[in-house]
Amino acid sequence: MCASDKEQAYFGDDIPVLQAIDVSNSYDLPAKWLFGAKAQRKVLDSVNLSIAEGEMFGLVGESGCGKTTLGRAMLGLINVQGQILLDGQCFDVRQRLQRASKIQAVFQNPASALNPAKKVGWLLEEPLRIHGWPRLQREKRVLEVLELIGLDTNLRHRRVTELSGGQKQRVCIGCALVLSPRLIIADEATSALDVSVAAQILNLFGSLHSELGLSMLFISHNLDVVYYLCDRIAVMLDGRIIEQSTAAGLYDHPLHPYTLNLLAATPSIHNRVDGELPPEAESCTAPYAKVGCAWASRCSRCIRLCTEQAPELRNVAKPKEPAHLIRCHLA
Amino acid sequence: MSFIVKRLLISLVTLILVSLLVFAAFAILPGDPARVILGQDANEAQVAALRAQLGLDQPLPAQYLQWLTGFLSGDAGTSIKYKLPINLMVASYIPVTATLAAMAIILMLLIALPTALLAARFPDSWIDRLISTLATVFISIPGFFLGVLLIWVFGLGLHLFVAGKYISYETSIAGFIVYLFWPALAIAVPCAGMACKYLRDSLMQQLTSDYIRTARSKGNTPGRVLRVHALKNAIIPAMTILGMIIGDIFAGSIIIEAVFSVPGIGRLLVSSISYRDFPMVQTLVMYIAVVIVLANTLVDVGIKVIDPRVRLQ
Repeated sequence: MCASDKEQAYFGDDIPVLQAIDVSNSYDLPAKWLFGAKAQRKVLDSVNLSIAEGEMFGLVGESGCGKTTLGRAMLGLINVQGQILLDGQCFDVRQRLQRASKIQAVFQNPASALNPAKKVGWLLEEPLRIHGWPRLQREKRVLEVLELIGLDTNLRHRRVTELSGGQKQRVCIGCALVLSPRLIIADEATSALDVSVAAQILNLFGSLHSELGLSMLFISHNLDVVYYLCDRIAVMLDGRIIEQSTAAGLYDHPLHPYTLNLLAATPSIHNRVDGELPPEAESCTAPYAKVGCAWASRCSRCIRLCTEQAPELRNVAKPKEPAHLIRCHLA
Repeated sequence: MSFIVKRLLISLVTLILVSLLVFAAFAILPGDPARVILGQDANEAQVAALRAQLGLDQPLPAQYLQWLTGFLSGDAGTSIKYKLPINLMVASYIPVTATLAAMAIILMLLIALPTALLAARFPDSWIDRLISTLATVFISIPGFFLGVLLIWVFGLGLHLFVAGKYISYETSIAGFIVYLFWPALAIAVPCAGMACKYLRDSLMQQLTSDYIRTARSKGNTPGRVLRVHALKNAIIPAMTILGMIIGDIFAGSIIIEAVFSVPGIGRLLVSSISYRDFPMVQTLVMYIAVVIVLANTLVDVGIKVIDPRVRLQ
């Protein structure tokens, strides 16, 4: 059964802003011998995910779990198997303008994410220019956006290199907003910023969400950031979603051992998990194999089944409660 | 500002060293200009008299200072071979070489820019490999051989121009430009090979940057991402070799002028060396050095002006 079916209750008849259906991606590992068969490493393994209109969706997981790849696939920057629907429509590579007007992104490092040779105004105007807006409307829109992101309108004449890190990230957000997209992907958008600036940017995201009704996919390794902003959260491990629930549901009742570990690893006053946490144990020394659960080799509660059969994503919520999906034999 | 002053001072020191080196080279080289002028039959007294007349009997430092003060005051002396003021002669030869060099630079850019962009647009494709292979081939071919090849194929084979029939700019500007096209091409192609390879790598490096990902997610086409976003940032590191290539173009023009019998500075230099006309050689080498050093200084300053990252410092 497809996970998106299970989410039907959450969406009712509304078409989700974004739908990822069975998205898979893999790359070839170099062959061991010159003409040997190439091994494949799966980066994404049949990921299903839907984001409703006006929803803040959090995606967390360790480095290399595939969360950034998923974001890039949604933006059409890489090719993947499976389907990515925006407002129920599928866009191919050539429809980059249509795609860009639906989905935009804010990336991790604002210092390198903006072309250093250009001026702020030019960068903000560029999406409008390639989408064929007339000049006067472009200028008006740029001023609107500058106000929206809380930057002085005179900054548009400055070069990117003259701005501070926080200002640069605001410009990145402005570039993403200027086309009024349906969804913005924030890929570790605050991890390169220092704490106080990161807080300002998070507040900006929060206010943009409430003012514009923007849908957002918030990709982060920081659970607290995601909890603060998001309505629903999915936890990824090794290219699969292993747990997904409402933010409160995931924080109050984390079920997957990996989620428990992730919560424990976040030093925070919000830490809701009580008592002793399962150590990241080597007690069960299953070899790293693709057959069983991806967490099995590091799981303290690992049983034999975990190493032999990959668990399916199941809904464990009580009837009439929001879905709580989990991929674990023990839950 | 202080950067420009510092850079100009370095250039000045370079030029002084070049002048000393050229002077020293001629002092060490065998062959006496007086003997060359008078021929083998002249007796010792005649040679000595001519040496005194030319100032060659003076000690070397005195000769150097005399030449230097003359050069700086705008009087580079008289050619031993032609018995004419050197600066007057240089002035009549310079337009030819300057046009040739300018055409070579333009041709180089016209070849290198599109090919580098095309190679970077389809990295690791057959077109990228073809461009890379051709670039390597043209870098490896010596300029004079390429010149001979051009004469053979386009001059003698296809009759697109008459080899050796130089048309002066005083006769016909159009004819002059058309004739110089072929030697300029022979100079430009090896330089274009180098510039293309360098620019392609620089572009590829830019394409992995985060800002390229931003530009792509804005909906830019791959071609526009290359031209509008990557190119300017890629040219900044590639400009450093442009300075070196300008040196190559002058070195190339010396040989190519001989191959295509173009009466430019290069041919004047070669004939002056064989005649031991060393006031002429010294002056020509100095002028060439000034141009190359100036070009490199301009490139360095230009990088500072273009590159927004170093501009503020």
